[in-house]
Amino acid sequence: MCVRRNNAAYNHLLTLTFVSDTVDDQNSIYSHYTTQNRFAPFDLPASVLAGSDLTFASTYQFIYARPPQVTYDPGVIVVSVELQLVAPYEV
Amino acid sequence: MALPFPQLFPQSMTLDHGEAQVTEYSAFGVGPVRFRHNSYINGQKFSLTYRALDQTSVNLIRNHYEVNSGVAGEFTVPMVLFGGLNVVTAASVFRYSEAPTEVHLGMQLYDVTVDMQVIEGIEMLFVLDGGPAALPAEEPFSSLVFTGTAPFTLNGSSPDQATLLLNAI
Repeated sequence: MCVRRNNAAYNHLLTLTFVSDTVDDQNSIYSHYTTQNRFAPFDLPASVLAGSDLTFASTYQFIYARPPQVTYDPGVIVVSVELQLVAPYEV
Repeated sequence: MALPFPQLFPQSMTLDHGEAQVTEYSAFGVGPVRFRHNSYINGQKFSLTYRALDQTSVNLIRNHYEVNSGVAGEFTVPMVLFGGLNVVTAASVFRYSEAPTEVHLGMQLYDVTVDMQVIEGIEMLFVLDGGPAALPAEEPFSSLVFTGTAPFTLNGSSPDQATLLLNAI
């Protein structure tokens, strides 16, 4: 039996991959992850989704679905980030 | 004190950013409610890949694994091995996730993979840093400076001088 409790769609999963030739981007993501992680929701800058035509429920925010993954070859740093859309709440 | 991991630079590595100490609870369609138990980020998993290590270098890893009692012992890792990735600190404590694996290439050269995880990572603490501000001449006063209920405004001085000093006594 399926029970629909409300009409809000959430728990969207968004996977972003960043490729850089320096560690600066990775360190920025790490600093953000350590303060937000799965606890404190945050807004995603519009520039991140620019051109994708994706829209989400207004006021909804993201948390990290899991720890970011990093592949480090000297000169090529790849960071994979998975985000989860959640209903807004105050910390 | 446990023996630190040898200063051998890997050719490549993979890692994750570790887990915050957060649990979730939900019931009857309510939640999840998230609880943060402390401010540590632990459990970062590292996989270091070495290619064509010579005999001396592979012996350093073998010896380190043995001296640290395999996956039981705890140790630190030199920060320089991480190539500027700001993921752990020099004080972070590691443990082997499993025994290092070797591929013998001949000519006493070895490909080695080392998997380890952080059991005590970083604690998120905010440190107030006053920068290079110099101590200005103290200004004595003989009356209470904060009186009433109105908002108090702290006017800053030039950036090379401290604006506010808080002394315990």
